[in-house]
Amino acid sequence: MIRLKNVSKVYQIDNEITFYALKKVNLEIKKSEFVSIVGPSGSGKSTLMHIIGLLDRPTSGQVFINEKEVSKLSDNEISDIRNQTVGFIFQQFNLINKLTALENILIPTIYCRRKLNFDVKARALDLIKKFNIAGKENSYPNKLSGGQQQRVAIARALIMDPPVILADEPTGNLDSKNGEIILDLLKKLNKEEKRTVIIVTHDLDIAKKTDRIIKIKDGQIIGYE
Amino acid sequence: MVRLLVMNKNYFLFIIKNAFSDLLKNKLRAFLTTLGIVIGVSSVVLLLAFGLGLKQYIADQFNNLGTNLVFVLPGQVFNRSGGFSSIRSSMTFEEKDFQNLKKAKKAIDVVPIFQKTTLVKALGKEQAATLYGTSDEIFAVRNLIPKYGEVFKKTDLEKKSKVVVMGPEIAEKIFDNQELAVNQKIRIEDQTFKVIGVLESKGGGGLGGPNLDTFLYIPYKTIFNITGKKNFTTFLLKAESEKDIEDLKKEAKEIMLKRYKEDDFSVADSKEIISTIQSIFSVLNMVLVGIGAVSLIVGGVGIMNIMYVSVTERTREIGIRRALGALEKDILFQFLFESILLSLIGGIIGLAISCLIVYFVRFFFPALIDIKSVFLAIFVSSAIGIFFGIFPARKAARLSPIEAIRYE
Repeated sequence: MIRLKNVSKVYQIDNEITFYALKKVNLEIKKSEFVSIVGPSGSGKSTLMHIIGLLDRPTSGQVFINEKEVSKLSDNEISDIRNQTVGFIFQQFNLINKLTALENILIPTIYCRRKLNFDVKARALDLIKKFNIAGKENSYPNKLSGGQQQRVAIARALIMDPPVILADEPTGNLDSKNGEIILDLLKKLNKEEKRTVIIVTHDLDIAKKTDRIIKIKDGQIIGYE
Repeated sequence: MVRLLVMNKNYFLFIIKNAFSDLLKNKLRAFLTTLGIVIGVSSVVLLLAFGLGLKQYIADQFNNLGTNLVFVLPGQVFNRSGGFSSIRSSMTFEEKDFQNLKKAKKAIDVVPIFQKTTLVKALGKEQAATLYGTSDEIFAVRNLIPKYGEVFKKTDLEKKSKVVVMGPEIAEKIFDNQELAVNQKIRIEDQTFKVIGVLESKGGGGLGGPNLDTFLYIPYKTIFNITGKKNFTTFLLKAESEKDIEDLKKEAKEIMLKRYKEDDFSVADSKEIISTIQSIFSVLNMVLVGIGAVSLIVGGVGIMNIMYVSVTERTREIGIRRALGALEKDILFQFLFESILLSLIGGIIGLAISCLIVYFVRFFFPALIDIKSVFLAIFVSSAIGIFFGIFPARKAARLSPIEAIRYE
């Protein structure tokens, strides 16, 4: 499904200091896998996630999605993959405050130029119901609790029915009870809907709930569990 | 897999809704930003409206003084570049010319005029005035109607009667009361004249046209009798209709060329004179409109400034949209639409304010907002939105998604 080959990400701080966020990372994540990427802050795990999610490009190396090399694609083509193949979930939820919950969920459908073969609004309302936030569709994000906001964000990640879900510290801004709910949701997305779910976290307890743990430190993968 | 910017209905609704909610979220800011465009557009539209009004006013003034008129004047009236010649000829025409011009087939009336500045004395007062020694046809040709008393007739001309018809302004100045002026005696050129009539006001003067309200009309034969000279300064020829004007001008010119050189006289019609006066004012008006346009540019810079602020404030939003699949051009279009909307709203408000002002001004001045000004206002404000919005919008579009989403 997703394969990284010798991927490096280098930041040139100034003439003398170069910083390796990732050093020749090789990684494969199979279809319908439930994996976590774990490491302390500064380990390069966020950079790795951004590269997997096509938000960032590697300095060198190749990224394959479904055996197609994507690291050399144009910005428009990459935007398309982000739109249709990857669903993002962020630590800070990243909802747009001036849009209602429903409008937030619908954003990806607006940017999709492909004719969609489903009723986007009906699907959004289904997701709202499924995630237990019915009645909140016309509320603005600042009127929702953190847990509710994150469920809106997950609904948004799912609206285009992407095969891959990328979650960056999805429980980081939530209390343990709400964090639990979100993790259960992500697990269901993998077990029941067969989506590839990748969770990036610094918390090993969370990582242990996934099927495979990829440990990263100083820009390199140091082991699997 | 290259995606084209396929514009579907939802996409447009979304962009429009987003832009409006952004503007409404910062109402005061949007209002202040728009104000620059409001002021710019209204100053340009109003100046254009006044310019058009001025043209109309000048044309009205002339048409008020008779239509389908051809003037035969001494010397060159127009200079080579189309303006009025600054050289005044001291040459005059003679009785013979009058008789010759009367033979012009296309002329239904020929009115001779001897014009002179003079002093009027009455009731112990002295007043400078313009004296018109002319024939009785002048009243018909120039639409001059007596308000009190009557105008002089052919018999007064033939009998060389010492009668005078006064413009209302000069009558008012001397007698304080136009009605009382009738049948009074006044002294002109050391002779006593009887006032037989006071004319209706024609208004005008000032903007190139003569102010007929200050004139004294006397039979030309009476003047010739007093001064002993038999000169005319102008001939007024009336054509039957507008289409005869060119023929009449040609005819008049041929007649005059028999006795004079080409440079010694001019033949002009009221339209030429109107358009020459109008073109002088047009230049002045365009300069003013240009100055007004500067305020539009200032307004545009205001929009650009606020759009840059908006891009910075919404960096994170841009990042989120990019992460969810927005193309660079989607972001570009979103911000560009917002700046166009700001500018266009300003343009429409400016236009509305101008219309309101012009509506009231029209009670005393024929200011006019024509369809061209309306399109110009809409077009220019949209263009300003695009021109000054494109740079901030490009900045927004070129933000890297990862930098944008990390932005706090």
